[in-house]
Amino acid sequence: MRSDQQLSTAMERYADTVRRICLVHLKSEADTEDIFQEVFMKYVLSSQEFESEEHEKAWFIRVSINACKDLIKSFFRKNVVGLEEVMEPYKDALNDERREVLEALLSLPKHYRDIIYLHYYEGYPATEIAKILNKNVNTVYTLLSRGRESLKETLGGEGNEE
Amino acid sequence: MKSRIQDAFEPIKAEESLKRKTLAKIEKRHRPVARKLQRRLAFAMVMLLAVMSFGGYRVYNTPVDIISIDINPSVELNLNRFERVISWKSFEPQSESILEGLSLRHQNYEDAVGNILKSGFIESRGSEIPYVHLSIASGSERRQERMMQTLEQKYTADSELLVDCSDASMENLGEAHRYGMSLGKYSSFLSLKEEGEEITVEEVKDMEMREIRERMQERSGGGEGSPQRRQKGK
Repeated sequence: MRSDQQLSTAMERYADTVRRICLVHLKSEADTEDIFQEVFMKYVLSSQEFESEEHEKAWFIRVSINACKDLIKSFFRKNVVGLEEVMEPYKDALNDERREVLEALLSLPKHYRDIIYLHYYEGYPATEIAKILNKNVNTVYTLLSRGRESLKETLGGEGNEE
Repeated sequence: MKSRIQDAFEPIKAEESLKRKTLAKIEKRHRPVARKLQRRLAFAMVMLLAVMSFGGYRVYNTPVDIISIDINPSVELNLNRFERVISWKSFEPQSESILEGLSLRHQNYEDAVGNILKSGFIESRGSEIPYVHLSIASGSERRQERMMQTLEQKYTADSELLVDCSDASMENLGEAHRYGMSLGKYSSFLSLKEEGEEITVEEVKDMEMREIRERMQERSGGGEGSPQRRQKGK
Protein backbone atom coordinates (compact mmCIF):
# COMPACT_ATOMS: atom_id res chain seq x y z
CA MET A 1 0.00 0.00 0.00
CA ARG A 2 1.40 3.38 -0.96
CA SER A 3 1.94 6.17 1.56
CA ASP A 4 0.04 9.46 1.84
CA GLN A 5 3.11 11.23 0.55
CA GLN A 6 3.23 9.05 -2.58
CA LEU A 7 -0.49 9.67 -3.14
CA SER A 8 -0.09 13.45 -2.82
CA THR A 9 2.82 13.46 -5.24
CA ALA A 10 0.89 11.37 -7.77
CA MET A 11 -2.12 13.67 -7.39
CA GLU A 12 0.02 16.71 -8.16
CA ARG A 13 1.65 15.02 -11.15
CA TYR A 14 -1.25 13.25 -12.82
CA ALA A 15 -4.53 14.82 -11.67
CA ASP A 16 -4.65 17.14 -14.69
CA THR A 17 -4.08 14.24 -17.09
CA VAL A 18 -6.82 12.17 -15.44
CA ARG A 19 -9.12 15.19 -15.56
CA ARG A 20 -8.56 15.65 -19.30
CA ILE A 21 -9.22 11.97 -19.96
CA CYS A 22 -12.46 12.30 -17.99
CA LEU A 23 -13.42 15.27 -20.13
CA VAL A 24 -12.73 13.25 -23.27
CA HIS A 25 -15.03 10.42 -22.11
CA LEU A 26 -17.54 11.62 -19.55
CA LYS A 27 -20.38 14.04 -19.51
CA SER A 28 -21.03 14.27 -15.81
CA GLU A 29 -19.18 15.91 -12.95
CA ALA A 30 -20.25 13.15 -10.55
CA ASP A 31 -18.82 10.50 -12.89
CA THR A 32 -15.54 12.43 -12.97
CA GLU A 33 -15.41 12.36 -9.16
CA ASP A 34 -16.01 8.59 -9.20
CA ILE A 35 -13.24 8.03 -11.73
CA PHE A 36 -10.82 10.14 -9.71
CA GLN A 37 -11.50 8.07 -6.62
CA GLU A 38 -11.23 4.79 -8.47
CA VAL A 39 -7.99 5.64 -10.27
CA PHE A 40 -6.17 7.05 -7.26
CA MET A 41 -7.49 4.31 -4.96
CA LYS A 42 -6.12 1.71 -7.39
CA TYR A 43 -2.80 3.52 -7.29
CA VAL A 44 -2.74 3.44 -3.48
CA LEU A 45 -3.53 -0.28 -3.37
CA SER A 46 -1.26 -1.28 -6.25
CA SER A 47 2.07 -2.85 -5.39
CA GLN A 48 3.47 -2.43 -8.86
CA GLU A 49 6.89 -0.84 -9.22
CA PHE A 50 7.36 1.92 -11.78
CA GLU A 51 10.72 2.24 -13.42
CA SER A 52 10.25 5.90 -14.42
CA GLU A 53 7.82 8.79 -14.28
CA GLU A 54 6.84 8.07 -17.91
CA HIS A 55 5.97 4.49 -16.98
CA GLU A 56 3.89 5.71 -14.07
CA LYS A 57 2.12 8.29 -16.25
CA ALA A 58 1.30 5.64 -18.88
CA TRP A 59 -0.19 3.51 -16.06
CA PHE A 60 -2.41 6.41 -14.97
CA ILE A 61 -3.54 7.03 -18.54
CA ARG A 62 -4.37 3.37 -19.14
CA VAL A 63 -6.18 2.89 -15.83
CA SER A 64 -8.15 6.15 -16.32
CA ILE A 65 -9.26 5.24 -19.84
CA ASN A 66 -10.29 1.75 -18.76
CA ALA A 67 -12.17 3.11 -15.74
CA CYS A 68 -14.05 5.61 -17.95
CA LYS A 69 -14.95 2.89 -20.45
CA ASP A 70 -16.15 0.56 -17.69
CA LEU A 71 -18.26 3.33 -16.18
CA ILE A 72 -19.85 4.16 -19.52
CA LYS A 73 -20.79 0.49 -19.92
CA SER A 74 -22.23 0.27 -16.39
CA PHE A 75 -25.70 1.16 -15.15
CA PHE A 76 -24.40 3.51 -12.52
CA ARG A 77 -23.77 6.59 -14.60
CA LYS A 78 -24.85 9.83 -13.07
CA ASN A 79 -26.83 12.52 -14.87
CA VAL A 80 -25.43 12.90 -18.36
CA VAL A 81 -25.39 16.49 -19.56
CA GLY A 82 -24.63 18.27 -22.82
CA LEU A 83 -21.26 19.53 -24.03
CA GLU A 84 -22.02 23.05 -22.82
CA GLU A 85 -22.39 21.86 -19.25
CA VAL A 86 -19.32 19.64 -19.50
CA MET A 87 -17.23 22.70 -20.30
CA GLU A 88 -19.00 24.94 -17.83
CA PRO A 89 -16.27 24.80 -15.13
CA TYR A 90 -13.78 26.15 -17.69
CA LYS A 91 -16.01 28.71 -19.39
CA ASP A 92 -13.85 31.67 -18.38
CA ALA A 93 -10.72 30.11 -19.85
CA LEU A 94 -12.33 28.81 -23.03
CA ASN A 95 -12.45 31.31 -25.84
CA ASP A 96 -14.39 30.56 -29.02
CA GLU A 97 -11.44 28.87 -30.72
CA ARG A 98 -10.76 26.52 -27.79
CA ARG A 99 -14.44 25.76 -27.37
CA GLU A 100 -14.78 24.95 -31.07
CA VAL A 101 -11.80 22.56 -31.01
CA LEU A 102 -12.97 20.79 -27.86
CA GLU A 103 -16.51 20.45 -29.14
CA ALA A 104 -15.22 19.01 -32.40
CA LEU A 105 -13.01 16.52 -30.54
CA LEU A 106 -15.69 15.50 -28.05
CA SER A 107 -18.14 14.95 -30.90
CA LEU A 108 -15.84 12.42 -32.58
CA PRO A 109 -16.70 8.71 -32.27
CA LYS A 110 -15.28 7.53 -28.94
CA HIS A 111 -12.61 5.23 -30.42
CA TYR A 112 -10.94 8.25 -32.10
CA ARG A 113 -10.98 10.52 -29.09
CA ASP A 114 -8.34 8.82 -26.91
CA ILE A 115 -5.98 8.42 -29.80
CA ILE A 116 -6.30 12.03 -30.95
CA TYR A 117 -5.86 13.25 -27.37
CA LEU A 118 -2.84 11.03 -26.64
CA HIS A 119 -1.15 11.90 -29.91
CA TYR A 120 -1.81 15.62 -30.19
CA TYR A 121 -1.91 16.68 -26.57
CA GLU A 122 0.26 14.18 -24.71
CA GLY A 123 2.61 13.81 -27.69
CA TYR A 124 2.74 10.00 -27.76
CA PRO A 125 3.73 8.34 -31.06
CA ALA A 126 1.44 5.64 -32.48
CA THR A 127 3.68 2.84 -31.19
CA GLU A 128 3.39 4.08 -27.60
CA ILE A 129 -0.36 4.62 -27.94
CA ALA A 130 -0.68 1.03 -29.16
CA LYS A 131 1.06 -0.19 -26.01
CA ILE A 132 -0.99 1.99 -23.68
CA LEU A 133 -4.32 1.06 -25.25
CA ASN A 134 -3.30 -2.54 -25.97
CA LYS A 135 -4.15 -2.14 -29.64
CA ASN A 136 -2.42 -3.14 -32.82
CA VAL A 137 -0.15 -0.33 -34.02
CA ASN A 138 -1.67 -0.39 -37.53
CA THR A 139 -5.11 0.05 -35.99
CA VAL A 140 -3.80 3.10 -34.13
CA TYR A 141 -2.42 4.59 -37.36
CA THR A 142 -5.77 4.03 -39.08
CA LEU A 143 -7.82 5.52 -36.24
CA LEU A 144 -5.44 8.47 -35.99
CA SER A 145 -5.71 9.18 -39.68
CA ARG A 146 -9.52 8.90 -39.72
CA GLY A 147 -9.89 10.98 -36.56
CA ARG A 148 -7.65 13.66 -38.04
CA GLU A 149 -9.66 13.73 -41.27
CA SER A 150 -12.88 13.97 -39.34
CA LEU A 151 -11.53 16.87 -37.25
CA LYS A 152 -10.32 18.66 -40.36
CA GLU A 153 -13.76 18.40 -41.86
CA THR A 154 -15.29 20.00 -38.78
CA LEU A 155 -12.64 22.58 -38.03
CA GLY A 156 -11.57 23.41 -41.54
CA GLY A 157 -8.64 22.14 -43.63
CA GLU A 158 -5.19 22.54 -42.24
CA GLY A 159 -3.09 20.96 -44.96
CA ASN A 160 -0.90 18.16 -43.70
CA GLU A 161 -0.04 19.78 -40.43
CA GLU A 162 0.65 17.18 -37.75
CA MET B 1 -3.93 20.82 -35.67
CA LYS B 2 -1.50 19.94 -32.90
CA SER B 3 -1.15 23.48 -31.59
CA ARG B 4 -4.92 24.06 -31.70
CA ILE B 5 -5.60 20.87 -29.71
CA GLN B 6 -2.85 21.65 -27.22
CA ASP B 7 -4.16 25.15 -26.74
CA ALA B 8 -7.74 23.91 -26.33
CA PHE B 9 -6.79 21.42 -23.57
CA GLU B 10 -4.44 23.78 -21.78
CA PRO B 11 -7.04 25.27 -19.39
CA ILE B 12 -8.46 21.83 -18.53
CA LYS B 13 -6.98 21.10 -15.14
CA ALA B 14 -8.17 19.17 -12.13
CA GLU B 15 -9.93 21.54 -9.78
CA GLU B 16 -8.38 21.85 -6.32
CA SER B 17 -11.75 20.92 -4.81
CA LEU B 18 -11.78 17.69 -6.86
CA LYS B 19 -8.29 16.79 -5.64
CA ARG B 20 -9.18 17.52 -2.02
CA LYS B 21 -12.42 15.57 -2.22
CA THR B 22 -10.62 12.57 -3.77
CA LEU B 23 -7.89 12.56 -1.12
CA ALA B 24 -10.47 12.81 1.66
CA LYS B 25 -12.58 9.95 0.28
CA ILE B 26 -9.59 7.70 -0.23
CA GLU B 27 -8.52 8.38 3.34
CA LYS B 28 -12.03 7.52 4.53
CA ARG B 29 -12.28 4.33 2.49
CA HIS B 30 -8.85 3.09 3.54
CA ARG B 31 -9.71 2.57 7.12
CA PRO B 32 -12.76 0.33 6.88
CA VAL B 33 -10.84 -1.86 4.41
CA ALA B 34 -7.97 -2.14 6.85
CA ARG B 35 -10.33 -3.07 9.70
CA LYS B 36 -12.11 -5.65 7.57
CA LEU B 37 -8.83 -7.21 6.57
CA GLN B 38 -7.75 -7.22 10.17
CA ARG B 39 -10.82 -9.24 11.17
CA ARG B 40 -10.62 -11.66 8.27
CA LEU B 41 -6.91 -12.19 8.49
CA ALA B 42 -6.67 -12.02 12.24
CA PHE B 43 -3.93 -14.57 12.56
CA ALA B 44 -1.88 -13.04 9.78
CA MET B 45 -2.29 -9.59 11.24
CA VAL B 46 -1.28 -10.72 14.72
CA MET B 47 1.83 -12.23 13.22
CA LEU B 48 2.46 -9.07 11.26
CA LEU B 49 1.96 -6.87 14.31
CA ALA B 50 4.30 -9.09 16.29
CA VAL B 51 6.90 -8.73 13.58
CA MET B 52 6.32 -4.99 13.46
CA SER B 53 6.65 -4.68 17.21
CA PHE B 54 10.14 -6.08 16.91
CA GLY B 55 11.01 -3.50 14.33
CA GLY B 56 10.39 -6.05 11.62
CA TYR B 57 8.31 -3.86 9.35
CA ARG B 58 11.40 -2.94 7.42
CA VAL B 59 12.49 -6.57 7.32
CA TYR B 60 9.10 -7.61 5.94
CA ASN B 61 9.30 -5.03 3.18
CA THR B 62 12.89 -5.67 2.17
CA PRO B 63 13.23 -7.78 -0.98
CA VAL B 64 15.81 -10.54 -0.65
CA ASP B 65 14.79 -13.00 -3.39
CA ILE B 66 13.55 -12.65 -6.94
CA ILE B 67 11.62 -15.10 -9.05
CA SER B 68 11.68 -14.13 -12.71
CA ILE B 69 8.86 -15.74 -14.68
CA ASP B 70 9.57 -15.55 -18.39
CA ILE B 71 7.11 -16.72 -20.94
CA ASN B 72 6.83 -13.65 -23.09
CA PRO B 73 5.56 -11.73 -21.30
CA SER B 74 7.91 -11.53 -18.30
CA VAL B 75 7.33 -10.62 -14.69
CA GLU B 76 9.61 -10.49 -11.65
CA LEU B 77 8.32 -11.22 -8.16
CA ASN B 78 10.24 -9.55 -5.35
CA LEU B 79 10.10 -11.70 -2.22
CA ASN B 80 10.94 -10.90 1.37
CA ARG B 81 12.77 -13.31 3.66
CA PHE B 82 9.46 -14.91 4.55
CA GLU B 83 9.13 -15.91 0.88
CA ARG B 84 6.16 -13.65 0.33
CA VAL B 85 5.62 -11.27 -2.55
CA ILE B 86 6.12 -7.65 -1.57
CA SER B 87 6.11 -6.19 -5.08
CA TRP B 88 6.28 -7.19 -8.70
CA LYS B 89 7.61 -5.74 -11.91
CA SER B 90 6.06 -6.31 -15.29
CA PHE B 91 7.99 -5.83 -18.50
CA GLU B 92 5.01 -5.52 -20.85
CA PRO B 93 2.28 -2.93 -20.19
CA GLN B 94 -0.34 -5.30 -21.62
CA SER B 95 0.22 -7.75 -18.74
CA GLU B 96 -0.13 -5.22 -15.97
CA SER B 97 -3.91 -5.31 -15.75
CA ILE B 98 -3.87 -9.14 -15.49
CA LEU B 99 -1.25 -9.04 -12.74
CA GLU B 100 -3.08 -6.23 -10.92
CA GLY B 101 -6.13 -8.49 -10.76
CA LEU B 102 -4.21 -11.32 -9.05
CA SER B 103 -3.52 -9.39 -5.80
CA LEU B 104 -0.05 -10.91 -5.63
CA ARG B 105 1.18 -8.85 -2.69
CA HIS B 106 1.64 -10.91 0.50
CA GLN B 107 1.12 -14.20 -1.34
CA ASN B 108 3.53 -17.04 -0.70
CA TYR B 109 5.83 -17.51 -3.72
CA GLU B 110 4.33 -20.91 -4.60
CA ASP B 111 0.81 -19.48 -4.66
CA ALA B 112 1.91 -16.39 -6.58
CA VAL B 113 3.70 -18.42 -9.28
CA GLY B 114 0.75 -20.83 -9.46
CA ASN B 115 -1.76 -17.98 -9.79
CA ILE B 116 0.26 -16.33 -12.55
CA LEU B 117 0.62 -19.58 -14.50
CA LYS B 118 -3.12 -20.23 -14.20
CA SER B 119 -4.08 -16.68 -15.25
CA GLY B 120 -4.43 -15.09 -18.67
CA PHE B 121 -0.76 -14.12 -18.33
CA ILE B 122 0.07 -17.08 -20.57
CA GLU B 123 -1.29 -16.47 -24.02
CA SER B 124 -2.86 -19.45 -25.71
CA ARG B 125 -0.88 -20.53 -28.76
CA GLY B 126 -3.13 -23.14 -30.28
CA SER B 127 -2.06 -26.69 -29.60
CA GLU B 128 1.49 -25.73 -28.57
CA ILE B 129 2.27 -26.35 -24.89
CA PRO B 130 3.26 -22.99 -23.34
CA TYR B 131 6.91 -22.73 -22.32
CA VAL B 132 7.77 -21.11 -19.00
CA HIS B 133 11.22 -20.29 -17.67
CA LEU B 134 11.53 -19.72 -13.92
CA SER B 135 14.73 -18.12 -12.62
CA ILE B 136 15.41 -17.79 -8.93
CA ALA B 137 17.91 -15.34 -7.46
CA SER B 138 18.41 -15.18 -3.73
CA GLY B 139 20.62 -13.76 -1.08
CA SER B 140 20.67 -17.21 0.51
CA GLU B 141 21.90 -20.29 -1.33
CA ARG B 142 19.85 -22.58 0.91
CA ARG B 143 16.66 -20.70 0.26
CA GLN B 144 17.39 -20.54 -3.45
CA GLU B 145 17.98 -24.30 -3.58
CA ARG B 146 14.82 -25.03 -1.63
CA MET B 147 12.64 -22.77 -3.77
CA MET B 148 14.04 -24.27 -6.97
CA GLN B 149 13.38 -27.81 -5.73
CA THR B 150 9.85 -26.91 -4.69
CA LEU B 151 8.98 -25.30 -8.02
CA GLU B 152 10.62 -28.09 -10.04
CA GLN B 153 8.71 -30.76 -8.12
CA LYS B 154 5.48 -28.86 -8.39
CA TYR B 155 5.60 -28.52 -12.16
CA THR B 156 7.26 -31.85 -13.08
CA ALA B 157 3.91 -33.54 -13.43
CA ASP B 158 2.25 -30.63 -15.22
CA SER B 159 1.23 -31.79 -18.65
CA GLU B 160 -0.06 -28.41 -19.73
CA LEU B 161 3.16 -26.47 -19.32
CA LEU B 162 6.77 -26.92 -20.35
CA VAL B 163 8.75 -25.52 -17.41
CA ASP B 164 12.48 -24.97 -16.91
CA CYS B 165 13.97 -23.76 -13.65
CA SER B 166 17.36 -22.15 -13.27
CA ASP B 167 19.27 -20.12 -10.74
CA ALA B 168 20.23 -16.53 -11.42
CA SER B 169 22.50 -13.99 -9.83
CA MET B 170 21.30 -10.82 -8.12
CA GLU B 171 24.43 -9.13 -9.46
CA ASN B 172 22.93 -9.09 -12.95
CA LEU B 173 19.69 -7.46 -11.88
CA GLY B 174 20.71 -3.83 -12.43
CA GLU B 175 22.14 -4.54 -15.85
CA ALA B 176 19.06 -6.55 -16.87
CA HIS B 177 16.78 -3.65 -15.95
CA ARG B 178 18.99 -1.15 -17.74
CA TYR B 179 18.33 -3.17 -20.91
CA GLY B 180 14.60 -3.29 -20.10
CA MET B 181 14.74 -7.06 -19.57
CA SER B 182 13.79 -9.35 -16.74
CA LEU B 183 16.56 -10.99 -14.72
CA GLY B 184 15.58 -14.40 -16.13
CA LYS B 185 15.71 -13.37 -19.76
CA TYR B 186 18.96 -11.46 -19.31
CA SER B 187 20.52 -14.45 -17.51
CA SER B 188 19.48 -16.64 -20.45
CA PHE B 189 21.25 -14.18 -22.75
CA LEU B 190 24.43 -14.45 -20.64
CA SER B 191 24.19 -18.26 -20.72
CA LEU B 192 23.87 -18.22 -24.51
CA LYS B 193 26.91 -15.95 -24.77
CA GLU B 194 28.84 -18.27 -22.49
CA GLU B 195 27.97 -21.16 -24.77
CA GLY B 196 29.62 -19.22 -27.61
CA GLU B 197 26.52 -17.93 -29.36
CA GLU B 198 27.17 -14.67 -31.19
CA ILE B 199 24.13 -12.73 -30.22
CA THR B 200 23.40 -9.24 -28.97
CA VAL B 201 21.27 -8.23 -26.06
CA GLU B 202 18.91 -6.36 -28.45
CA GLU B 203 18.36 -9.56 -30.44
CA VAL B 204 17.56 -11.54 -27.29
CA LYS B 205 15.21 -8.82 -26.09
CA ASP B 206 12.95 -9.43 -29.10
CA MET B 207 13.17 -13.23 -28.91
CA GLU B 208 10.62 -15.49 -27.27
CA MET B 209 11.86 -17.65 -24.40
CA ARG B 210 11.08 -20.77 -26.43
CA GLU B 211 13.49 -19.59 -29.15
CA ILE B 212 16.19 -18.88 -26.58
CA ARG B 213 15.70 -22.39 -25.16
CA GLU B 214 16.03 -23.92 -28.62
CA ARG B 215 19.23 -21.96 -29.30
CA MET B 216 20.59 -23.16 -25.97
CA GLN B 217 19.74 -26.76 -26.80
CA GLU B 218 21.41 -26.47 -30.20
CA ARG B 219 24.53 -25.05 -28.56
CA SER B 220 24.72 -27.68 -25.85
CA GLY B 221 23.88 -30.44 -28.34
CA GLY B 222 20.88 -31.55 -26.28
CA GLY B 223 17.61 -32.82 -27.68
CA GLU B 224 14.15 -31.76 -26.69
CA GLY B 225 14.58 -33.59 -23.40
CA SER B 226 12.15 -33.67 -20.57
CA PRO B 227 10.03 -30.61 -19.91
CA GLN B 228 11.59 -29.85 -16.55
CA ARG B 229 15.29 -29.51 -16.97
CA ARG B 230 17.53 -27.58 -14.72
CA GLN B 231 20.10 -25.33 -16.27
CA LYS B 232 22.93 -23.67 -14.54
CA GLY B 233 22.23 -19.98 -14.95
CA LYS B 234 24.45 -17.00 -14.39
